[in-house]
Amino acid sequence: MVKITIDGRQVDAEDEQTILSVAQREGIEIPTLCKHEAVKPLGTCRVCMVEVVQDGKSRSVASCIFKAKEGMEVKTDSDVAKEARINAVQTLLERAPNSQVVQDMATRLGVQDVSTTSTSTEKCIQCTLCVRICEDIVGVSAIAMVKTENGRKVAANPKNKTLTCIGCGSCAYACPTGNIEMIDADGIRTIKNWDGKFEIAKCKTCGNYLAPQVQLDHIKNTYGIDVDVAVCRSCSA
Amino acid sequence: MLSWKDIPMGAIVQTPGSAKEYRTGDWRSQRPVWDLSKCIKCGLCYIYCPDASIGWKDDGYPQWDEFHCKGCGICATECWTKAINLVEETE
Amino acid sequence: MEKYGLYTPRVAPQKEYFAAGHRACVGCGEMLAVRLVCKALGKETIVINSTGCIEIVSSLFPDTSWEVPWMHTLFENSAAVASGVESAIKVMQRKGKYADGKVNVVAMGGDGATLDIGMQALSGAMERGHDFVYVCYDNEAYMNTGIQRSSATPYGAMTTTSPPGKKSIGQQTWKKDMPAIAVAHNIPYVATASPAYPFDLMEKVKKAAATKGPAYLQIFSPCPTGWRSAGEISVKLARLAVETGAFPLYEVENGKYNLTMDFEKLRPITDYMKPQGRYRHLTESDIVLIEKKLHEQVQELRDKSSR
Repeated sequence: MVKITIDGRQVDAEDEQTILSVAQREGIEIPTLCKHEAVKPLGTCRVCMVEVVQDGKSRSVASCIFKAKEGMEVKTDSDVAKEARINAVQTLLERAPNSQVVQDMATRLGVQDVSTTSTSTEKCIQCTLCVRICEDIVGVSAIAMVKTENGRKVAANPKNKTLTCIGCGSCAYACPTGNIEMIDADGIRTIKNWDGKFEIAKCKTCGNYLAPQVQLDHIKNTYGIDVDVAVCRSCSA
Repeated sequence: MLSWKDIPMGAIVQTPGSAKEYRTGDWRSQRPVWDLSKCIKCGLCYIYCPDASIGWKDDGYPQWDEFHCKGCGICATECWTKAINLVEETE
Repeated sequence: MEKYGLYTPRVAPQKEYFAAGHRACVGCGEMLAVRLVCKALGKETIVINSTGCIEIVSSLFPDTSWEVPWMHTLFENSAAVASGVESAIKVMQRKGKYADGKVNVVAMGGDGATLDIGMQALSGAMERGHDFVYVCYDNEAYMNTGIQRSSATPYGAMTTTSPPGKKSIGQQTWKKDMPAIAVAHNIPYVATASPAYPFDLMEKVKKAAATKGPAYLQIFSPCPTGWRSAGEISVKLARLAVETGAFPLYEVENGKYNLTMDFEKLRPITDYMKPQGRYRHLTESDIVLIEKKLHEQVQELRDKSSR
């Protein structure tokens, strides 16, 4: 246990606990975009910046990854913190100037003018949440951030020989800006961002759509389960 | 026994989620048992539990809450790989 | 088929705003629906709850399952109280006596509390245009008081006040179309949902909460006790109801219908009815009649969606 001061309050923090989790416990709100409870934080969006004063020195850090240390003084609303956040969100605005989510966050952080002359429809803020989820939770590491001429974008992981995406959509669900487009039509699931086209398998018994065939294959091949997963929950005994 | 003088006005309860202290696990006559070799860590059992009695551990495998689980068996019915079996509760 | 299935539950919100330890029956579909609704609404919510199953199982003094501010009102007036709460918040925010920011005002009630006794209050609240969400948990009878019929009980279903026999088929009237009544009030958002499709349900709740003005949601809630079905198939029944056309899923946004899930061929209704004891007495000709009517209703929704 360590003792830190946050916004004037003396509180306890566990060893290795991040400033953000201490703040949340204390009911202090710090904005976030790339943080998700399901995966480890990475500090990519920098919207959670706070000011930390230690040994007389003040600096701004990402509270989602910075760990609390004894005697630390944290200021979540100081000018230093506010400026760091505005810088962070302006970087995000450069990446996705017309994204409603980013514009709303910028307004919330105090940016006066979020209007832009850019016609870019880019929504990716390069927070890598999708990549982390695919790696840690789904376990197929199908996607990665790749360098393109327009900056880094999420695409099929170049380390894989073939596309290992199983079309589960967890990345699309978690993406904070709705960048990943997943559409089901006429028995085919399409994920535009990495040209994924997945045939949706039908239940052997009733013929209703069940799940993308790659998902059923994934269960069989990766886990070696010989239960017949090609039968839907309504037909299954 | 509480008299009317002990109960807060309007019977207002000021502790959110205080029902967590009540052991509905006593109700079960069967319990779910996971065969981890068949578990694909998909999370469906977690989302379908009416009693929020399934979470997951750090490694992603399901964490069963024996204090609250009523043994309804919805998790076993919804599991795609039949990784959950219902076993008679002996306690 | 829902868009999200495997793995997405692990990136769904983890915080439970409806705590375990409630006294619902084993396998209660309604509590699963409440748990998902609360998950989708989040922290900034005030719940106003009519008398019914939800209210009694979640608030046995001194326990409460609610992690958000909650109040229990009379059977018939959750919509009226929700109107009052919404107006009070508006006024207090204007006067600076209440923190700024959006608060979800959500009225919850069963099918009895909504379609029967609560119809007047709900109609008034929708007509006045309050910014609130009304969620009706449809378990198709007055379950809390011991399984009596309501106007949401489907044709042919057995309840204690619609008992089948030589002179009775069970419920003698067809299910009241409450979403259509809500649409007739010209409210911006009406939808039906089922806990067998949790992500669809949560998205509809979020949409309803974000809509400015009244929103009405009817959520199908299997009741193993009242329907005489096994607790472990509650979610399965919630899915079969959608697949057979007994409870089609659709949304109506500003009068525009949109069928959420359609099937090339609707499943035979016997798949849905067989596991439930409340339909045990129906003859083959009864079932054919019911199926025909349900298919007509689904076709009507298809037509409305394509216009």
